[in-house]
Amino acid sequence: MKKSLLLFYLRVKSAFLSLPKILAATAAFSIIVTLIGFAGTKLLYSDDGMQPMDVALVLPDGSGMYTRAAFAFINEIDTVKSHCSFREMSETDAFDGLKSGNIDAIIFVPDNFIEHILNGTNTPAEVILPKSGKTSSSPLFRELINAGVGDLAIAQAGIYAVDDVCVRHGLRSEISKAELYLNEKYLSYALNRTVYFEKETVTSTGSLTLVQFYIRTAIVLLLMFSSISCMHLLFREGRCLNASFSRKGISTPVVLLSKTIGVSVMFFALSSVLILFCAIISGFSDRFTLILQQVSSGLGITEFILMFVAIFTTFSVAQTILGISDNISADVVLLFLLTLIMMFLSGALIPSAFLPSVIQKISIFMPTTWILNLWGNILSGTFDAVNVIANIAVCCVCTALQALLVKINS
Amino acid sequence: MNIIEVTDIKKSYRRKKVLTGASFHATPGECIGIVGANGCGKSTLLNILSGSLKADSGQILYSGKNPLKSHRIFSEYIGFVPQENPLMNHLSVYDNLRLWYCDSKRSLEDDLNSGILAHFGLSAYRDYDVATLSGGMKKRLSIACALAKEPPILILDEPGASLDIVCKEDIKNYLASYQAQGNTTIITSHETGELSLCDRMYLLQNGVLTELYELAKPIRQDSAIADILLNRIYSSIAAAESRPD
Repeated sequence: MKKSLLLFYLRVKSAFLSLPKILAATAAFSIIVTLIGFAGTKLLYSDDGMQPMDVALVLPDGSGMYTRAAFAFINEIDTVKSHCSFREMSETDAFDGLKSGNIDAIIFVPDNFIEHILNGTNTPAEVILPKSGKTSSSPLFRELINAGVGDLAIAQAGIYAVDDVCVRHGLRSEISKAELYLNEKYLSYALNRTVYFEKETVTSTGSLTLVQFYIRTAIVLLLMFSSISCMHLLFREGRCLNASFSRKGISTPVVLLSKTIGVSVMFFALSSVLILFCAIISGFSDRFTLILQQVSSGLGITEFILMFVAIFTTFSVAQTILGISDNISADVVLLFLLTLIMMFLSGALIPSAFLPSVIQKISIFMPTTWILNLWGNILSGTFDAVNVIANIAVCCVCTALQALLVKINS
Repeated sequence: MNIIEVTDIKKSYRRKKVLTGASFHATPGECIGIVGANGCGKSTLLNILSGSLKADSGQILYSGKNPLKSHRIFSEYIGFVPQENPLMNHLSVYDNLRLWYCDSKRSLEDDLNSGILAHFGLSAYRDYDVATLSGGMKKRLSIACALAKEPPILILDEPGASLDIVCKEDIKNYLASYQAQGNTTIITSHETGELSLCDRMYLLQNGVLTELYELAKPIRQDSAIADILLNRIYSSIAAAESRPD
């Protein structure tokens, strides 16, 4: 026991002695990881996929300046602008555009549209959507528009009917009260979609925000790649030294664990210093605090313990890969490739939701999946015992595999 | 009583039979030399004797105790210096020694001040990284680590390979004093200078050990004659190996 503890201590010391070299390499890898993260975000969430719909606006002949001004005003509203772009054109051009796919929808504005709104006639505008294309991929979209238009017409008709009744029976003073009451009823029942649909937020990144999702990916990638800079600490001992340890009564799993512990303790200490540094800066800058809040919901003792488990598991996996062959160059290439493949299969580079179901099923066999899940827990401030157990299981499997590789090679 | 009793050790790597029945013995205070052509199985035999490798069959007894029944006997009896230095390169000389001295009765500080470590000149290098040491210094450190627990048997696998004359002489002098204290040494080498400490010599050929009675006396007394005899032995091995079956 004393020998094993001393070995653990010496490994930690050895790791800290290599700190300047490791820091330099980690900084270099962090640039690579940032580039990967940036490219991934751009690929998935670029503006290309969110271009506003081109909507053709067919105005009746002789439509007044009020109609044009009204649509120009609507076009300038931010929420509308991000989804729709209105373009006035003739009926023929609008249909040609719809057929060729240049136009996503046509709105036929009826005669005296604005006047009818003002006087309560409410002649609805006609919306024409193509059978195929981005606006009609879901029939639900069409249904929602129709339902919305219908509901709005019914609500307005109801309100105006009550207004007429009040005027006829000399209850003008009650009109505003009655309208308020009806508005509330219509808004809460007729127009409120939540009455019909249970609301559940579904995102490709699960319970994590996009920022947390890619921060998590970046951390795991950085740790895996950093193991290249710690190769001298993680690479398995020569046969002679292993035999010497064995003669001294230190078993192979203990020797292997001591290496992982050394590097893990060093990276844990580094991470803790970084977190402390961030905490100090956030005390001086509100803006930085807001940025930190986007990354993590706060770190407590549990999160720090989980962090050590996650770091340890990451280096266990890396050490196993580095122990596959005796050739250092081959091991580095293998580590790099396997890391990217495992991360891809775990849905860390592209969210699993966008991957084929086969890959989604394979992902549970990837050690990186469980490491990523644990980092997800740490960043979101949640705790899932399954992830902790899975990480410990990954460590045990990795140590057993390494011991087997040492035995085979000796 | 023999401190080492090795009987009929056999070892094969896949289909290649390396040791086909190696046997020898040694008494306390004796130095045994093992010679043989490259690849004849000398290192394999020493690895088996040190517990680094498992023999396919055969028996090893250290003072009548079977180390295969209790692996602790290996650490109690054997100090092993393999060809490759078993050191942790990213730690200092002192840290390496700490690990090997941690369950020793000897004091590391005493040894650094006036013991074997001072004799080997390691005291001046105590804070140096092992990776920065010369080959000779690393070999000295390997021997010092192997002797940390004061084992009664020291096994050295070609200790002088690629070392300078001063270093070889230094190691040789220490081995002489180690032997004078009643300890046993087993050494493999191709050089008569290193083998000059040996009381008995064995030739490992075709997987078996044959005692070389004619070499034992001259190797201690007359290195020139020993060189001639050793060359003859190697020539006859080479001739036998080049002969078609």
